[in-house]
Amino acid sequence: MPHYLGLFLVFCGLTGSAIAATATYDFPHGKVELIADTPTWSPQRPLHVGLSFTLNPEWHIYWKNSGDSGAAPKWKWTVENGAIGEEAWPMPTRIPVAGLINLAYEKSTLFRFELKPNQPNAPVKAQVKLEFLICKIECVPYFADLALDIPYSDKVETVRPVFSAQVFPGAAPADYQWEITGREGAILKTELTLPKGMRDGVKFLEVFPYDAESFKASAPEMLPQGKGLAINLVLQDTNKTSFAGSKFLLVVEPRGEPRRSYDISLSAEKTAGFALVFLWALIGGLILNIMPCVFPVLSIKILSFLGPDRDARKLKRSGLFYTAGVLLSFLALGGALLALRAAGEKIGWGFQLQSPSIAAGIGLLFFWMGLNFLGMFEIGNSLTGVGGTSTDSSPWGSFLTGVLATVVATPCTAPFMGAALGAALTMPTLYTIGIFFGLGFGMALPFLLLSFYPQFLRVLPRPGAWMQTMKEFLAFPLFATVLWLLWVLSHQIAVEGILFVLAVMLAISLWVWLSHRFKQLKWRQTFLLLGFVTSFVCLTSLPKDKAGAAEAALDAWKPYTEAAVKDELEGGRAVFIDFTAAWCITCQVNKKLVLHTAPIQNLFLQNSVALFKADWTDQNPLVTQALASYGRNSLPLYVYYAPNSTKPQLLPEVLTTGVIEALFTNKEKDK
Amino acid sequence: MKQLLTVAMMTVLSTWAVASVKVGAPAPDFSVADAEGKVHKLSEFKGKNVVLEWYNKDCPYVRKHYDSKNMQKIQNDLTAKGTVWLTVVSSAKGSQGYLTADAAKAQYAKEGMKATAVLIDDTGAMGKAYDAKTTPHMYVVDATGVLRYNGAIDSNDSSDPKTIPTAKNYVVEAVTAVAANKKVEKETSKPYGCSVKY
Repeated sequence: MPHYLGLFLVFCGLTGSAIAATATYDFPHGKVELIADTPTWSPQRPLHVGLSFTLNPEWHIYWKNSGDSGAAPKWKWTVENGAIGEEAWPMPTRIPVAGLINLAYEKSTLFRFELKPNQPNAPVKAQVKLEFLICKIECVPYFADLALDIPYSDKVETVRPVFSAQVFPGAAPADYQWEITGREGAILKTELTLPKGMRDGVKFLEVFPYDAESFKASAPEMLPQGKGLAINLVLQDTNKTSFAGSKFLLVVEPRGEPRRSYDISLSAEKTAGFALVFLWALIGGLILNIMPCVFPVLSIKILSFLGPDRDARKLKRSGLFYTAGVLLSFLALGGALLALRAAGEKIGWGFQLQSPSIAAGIGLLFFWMGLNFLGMFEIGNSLTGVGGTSTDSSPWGSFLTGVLATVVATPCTAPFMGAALGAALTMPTLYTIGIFFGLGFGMALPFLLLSFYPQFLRVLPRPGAWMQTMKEFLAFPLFATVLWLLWVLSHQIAVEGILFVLAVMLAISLWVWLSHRFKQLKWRQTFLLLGFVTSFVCLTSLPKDKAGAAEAALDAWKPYTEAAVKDELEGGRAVFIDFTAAWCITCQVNKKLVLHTAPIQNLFLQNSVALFKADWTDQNPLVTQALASYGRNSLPLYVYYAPNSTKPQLLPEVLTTGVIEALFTNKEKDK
Repeated sequence: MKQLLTVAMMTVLSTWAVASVKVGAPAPDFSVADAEGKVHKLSEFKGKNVVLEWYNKDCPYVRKHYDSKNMQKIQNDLTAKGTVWLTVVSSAKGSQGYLTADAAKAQYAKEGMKATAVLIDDTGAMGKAYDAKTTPHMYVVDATGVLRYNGAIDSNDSSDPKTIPTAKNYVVEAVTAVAANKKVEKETSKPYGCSVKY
């Protein structure tokens, strides 16, 4: 008997669940409904069903990529007399939750599914096993079984408004192009090209990554640039190196048109054609020949051509071996750079280049080189001599000259080639090798040609006094580079650090001057080498206090983002937003006379007001949007939210101390 | 001179140490008291592999792995092989999942946890240093202190415990690979679950 009872209960349970699978599921924070876009279906028209969510205030349900936390809804369909086709997710919004960003929907949303019926004249029966998570701050997962029968009819009905109200993504038109332009640490730089007509009239634009493992969910920084926007995407996985093809949802609202969304992929960085890169490297290599470090080596070598043993065969052989020497050295250099790059990918290469010690170190190196070019001291004459004289005719001698020419050329090339080498580093391996091959070949080319056609020798300028003059002149571009490096440093460290570097340079000059006391070359060189090494060791005690750190502590104004403001408001804090721009005179006057004065700053501090600065200097579209949300399109604009209030209070355009003080005295009156 | 060079090296290394949480780089150190009041540091576990688990007793996704006894089983399996397992509670006082030291002790017994210790990070300092976003959010640090895995506990972000047997457990895979001196196949994944209640 207990058996039968059990069986009976199971049976009841089964029928129970079958009956329970209705089209609507109510839960404590809202409801979800399975609904077709028309009450009946007909073969004349595509059929869709939707999962329509209605949520209580403050609760949200997630997009495909849920953002920093949460999880996307999941579904499993069973369809009688039909099959489920494509699914479409409406556009989400960024919702800040306790410092994290969720990509989600509030209030209501609808996930849409294409339904492909099989037989006409029969109903389509759709059933779905649904799992979804909704969150406020805490989260609640739900499971539901929903079912819906859609009868057949041959009349064509209109689509329900709940479907037509949603915006679903389409493929991005061809005039939207999104390219990667570079990478700096955890920032992937990109450029989004917008269609021609839209460039000066975008009311709203946001991008949402589908790939949560590669990209952070927070809103990326956007700036107008060229034919569209520069977008700095923040990377989640900084170990990954290739982001081409990553899919995003682009939501855009051109001025005067409805909001729309597109699926768009990042395209790879456009690299110049290999041939072009090679050609430029070749030209660069040619120029290397007239560099003051290289020319002496070459001229001595070339002079040997004019000697008595001008055997054409030997000359050609000598030229070929020299070329081989240069090429191999350049390829070795390129290989070393590639190895560094591979290591850099592991340890964060960009990070190191931004270190103030390295910028200061390069500055010192160039300062030393500049002094050398000016003739303040001499180095390496002996080195040049080795390559030049010992090599007259032996092929290995020529090879060695090639190697030597490359070695002595390297320090000279650094200031001129730095940028090019930087570019080489970001290119694919094949390109990097191509560049180094081109440089080497370019550098060897004149010598190679001369060894085959010695008659051209007459055309060449003879080594002489002009070389010295040119070398001395080249000290000045070097000093200019030092100046530029100090400027870079000034953005990284405080003025004490800059003075420290300048003091080291002063000490270097003194040291070089002192070196002339030594009459013997050997001692002089030892003394100089000691000074050279010491100057770099000194840099280890470079004061690295951040530039502007002191002011930043006083300046409590945070950069404006919609999310940050919303976050503060949800925390019940008072918020003050200063919409400003460098070119807005009134804004500057208000800032100087009122906002940034000590009494007002203290007043803000006492009332724990969160201060935001929305900078419109570059016509940042996010700020444009924010301005529009307050019904403005011009500056200045000052917005104040009292504590625990979401009603913005717009202040007059010309501020006085009294206006600000009134904000807080009124508050007390209210109490 | 040698000292100066050491100083130079350390300057360079210290700039790396402040860099954000990155698989392949040293994991941030911490100093947090456990439920017994004993202060733990990452550095004391040098020589052992360490698993970090962010925990909130009321989060449905944490419940998925504890009510099914999945988490306890993994804790038991891994700690039996010498791995250190630290369960971290970063919920702030007054937020969901907040635990005092005593409550944490009781919770440990109630869940039948096999973790090495439960750390009470109610200031959220450790959670923020690790950029812990969800409960459960999992990390694996190897015997040399290098972060080797950062992400979800497994490959199925459903809240349904029935999905556990078919899901790929990234943490077990990572610890197994690290113990065998192999490269971790899946080094990062998107952590799923409730947000950490800082």
